[in-house]
Amino acid sequence: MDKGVIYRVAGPVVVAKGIKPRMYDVCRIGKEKLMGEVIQITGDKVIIQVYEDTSGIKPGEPVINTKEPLTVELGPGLLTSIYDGIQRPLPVLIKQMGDFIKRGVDAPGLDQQKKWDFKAVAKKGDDVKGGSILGEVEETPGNIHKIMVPPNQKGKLAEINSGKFTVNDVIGKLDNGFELKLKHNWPVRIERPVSSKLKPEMPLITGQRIIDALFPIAKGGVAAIPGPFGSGKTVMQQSLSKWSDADIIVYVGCGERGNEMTEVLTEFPKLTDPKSGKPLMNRTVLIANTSNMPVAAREASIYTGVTIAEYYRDMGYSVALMADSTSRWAEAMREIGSRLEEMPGEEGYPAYLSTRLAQFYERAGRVIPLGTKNEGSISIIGAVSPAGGDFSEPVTQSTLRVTKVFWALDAKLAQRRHFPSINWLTSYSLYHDALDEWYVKNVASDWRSLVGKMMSILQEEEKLLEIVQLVGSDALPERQQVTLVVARLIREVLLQQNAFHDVDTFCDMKKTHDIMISIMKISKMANNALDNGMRAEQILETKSKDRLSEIKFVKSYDNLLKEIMGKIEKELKQ
Amino acid sequence: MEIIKKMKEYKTISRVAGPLIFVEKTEPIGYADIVKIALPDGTIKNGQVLDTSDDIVVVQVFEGTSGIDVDTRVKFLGDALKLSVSKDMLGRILSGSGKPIDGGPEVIPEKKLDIMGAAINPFSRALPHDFIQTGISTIDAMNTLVRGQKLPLFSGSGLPHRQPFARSSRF
Ligand SMILES: Nc1ncnc2c1ncn2[C@@H]1O[C@H](COP(=O)(O)OP(=O)(O)OP(=O)(O)O)[C@@H](O)[C@H]1O
Ligand SMILES: [Mg+2]
Repeated sequence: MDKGVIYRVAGPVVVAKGIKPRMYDVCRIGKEKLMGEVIQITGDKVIIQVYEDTSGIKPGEPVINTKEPLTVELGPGLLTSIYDGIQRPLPVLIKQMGDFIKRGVDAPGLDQQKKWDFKAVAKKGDDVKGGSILGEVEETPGNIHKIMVPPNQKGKLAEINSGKFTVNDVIGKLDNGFELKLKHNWPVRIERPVSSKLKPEMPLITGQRIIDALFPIAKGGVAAIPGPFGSGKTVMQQSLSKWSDADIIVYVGCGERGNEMTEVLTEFPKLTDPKSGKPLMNRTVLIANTSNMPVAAREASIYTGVTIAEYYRDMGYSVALMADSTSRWAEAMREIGSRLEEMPGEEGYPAYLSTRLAQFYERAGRVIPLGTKNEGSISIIGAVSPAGGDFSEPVTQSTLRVTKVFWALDAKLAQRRHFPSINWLTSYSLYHDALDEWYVKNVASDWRSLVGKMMSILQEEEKLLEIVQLVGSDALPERQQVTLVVARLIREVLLQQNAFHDVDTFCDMKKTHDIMISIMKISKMANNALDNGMRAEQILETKSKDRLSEIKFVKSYDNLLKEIMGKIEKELKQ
Repeated sequence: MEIIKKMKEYKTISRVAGPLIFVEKTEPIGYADIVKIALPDGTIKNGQVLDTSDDIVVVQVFEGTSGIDVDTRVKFLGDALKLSVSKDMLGRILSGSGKPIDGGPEVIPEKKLDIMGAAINPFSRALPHDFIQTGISTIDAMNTLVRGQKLPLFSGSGLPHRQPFARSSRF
């Protein structure tokens, strides 16, 4: 056994001597055998980040090198689970150590006793390799968990059995003697290999109008939500977890509030997936390392989350991963880096901050997994919490370099209670072109042109408002006063969306399209009215156009929309 | 106090810098341990271990390092910072380190608690939902306070933040 002693303890960082580990080997620290990971080797000194509180740990205590990297257990039982940053199930931790997180407790990620009903689809004699599907388990009602050959194995199937198994039972063997189980382990810091990467070409439908229409994210894409505190990052991440049309959701609560994880835990089982009609919790995995939990485990939580996401992607599913907040993750790196006496980079963050962020987002993508032809994808949506809302700070900047969608949350909009507070002038999506064809085929042929019109009216509004500030709205030409009316409709009906309203919280593509069409119709009618001699002032005073937002809060809105549009038409014809 | 007497004392401060002292040639000292520092003039200061190794132990001194010299004696108490607590503390006035400063008797501890606290397992939290009526209408109407929640008061220098703060004790 590779055994040594502690030489130095400084917060989450321990320096050991006398062991010969490889980078990222997991070590057991001190008499209490706290878990840690080797993050630097210099001469005979080994630097280890420890996932648990190190108070009271002394130099001279033993260190054991397990010679294994930090891995997660992958198999049935992940869905509906809530884990800490190193995949210890939080409900199990409560049983072992009560309501508070203490240290020195081990808990496997998957339920080791539960028996799963496994149906083999591969047959004895089949040639299999990493990623080949061996069979299926219904993990939660409606969610089929595909049992795969671990990525680094291959051979002929010497034996495979259907039946009831725990994750540790042997379900079959390869001809080289390798024992197949329902679960396998995978090191979190190593990307799971794929056959090939594909270009993104379909959107992740989020049910959020401003995103689906103006700033879409592709399945397999990456988006950043930077925003000052209280601007709605968490509400947005939760809405996306609830309503995105991904098959699997991985939600990483990284250094944020415990209550927000409780919200997810109490709400999701009660909400139903609009696609499957099943509780949303059934497709969700939660990872919680709240602000007061050990900082090194927070650094690991992001990797734990993305590895689980890759595992479901490899089954051919579309996965969406939320990380709230990547700034807290970066701060964890900074805290550990400063204990290493590393040369700090900008604002004290380690020099490798942008590399780490890029490596993380790089694990997103649309792919053909190993061993199957069913494409899968991971979309990553990361919240960024820049101090003081200053987007020029290093975490926001490094993130923007790698993400293709930028949803800039705006404190001013949030203060005006315009939610979601995505600023439509500074935000962008680079996926419009890639997704165009999909919209034409699946939503409407005029989708792109409608979106273009919405954007240009909003941009024109911005210019006009500057003039209005100088000279007052009366001085504007009548046609431009009408543009302001239309722009207001776009903001209030299309862009604003109440995450807490039963109906408005989710808006499908048809309804978003109907809203855009209706606004353009009103715009046309109003401009015609001007041509026919109506005054802008009179158009402004018509009542029914302000009722358009009513349809947002009604599920079957067709008749209501007809009624309102009819009234608007009448008013504008007088 | 008994235990403290039995512990080894060191007179091996090799460096004092800002709020930190560096102590050499110690036996193994635990990270985050509590430290008593006795100055030659009889003053006692408290500190906590920030960094510990075979060669040197770095201690943060809570009361500042003024007056500390190489003859200062250092004792490591071998335990994280704990505070004696008791129901009798209600109604008392205590210093930052928990000592009575109202002229009354010492608090007789019912329990000793780690001041760093422990993280609540997010799975054992319940959602806060009991409304607390503060009587301050801008809070009650616009930013309702709920039991178990946190309410920061942001203030600028010179602004009268003490009044609402004092009022909060009546919530
Ligand atoms: N889409 C929305 N609909 C209605 N209200 C919203 C919406 N988004 C945000 N809010 C309001 O804004 C508040 C703050 O949002 P949230 O907690 O998501 O902010 P945050 O950006 O995550 O803040 P922090 O940086 O403090 O974590 C919410 O409690 C809610 O009242
Ligand atoms: Mg938040």
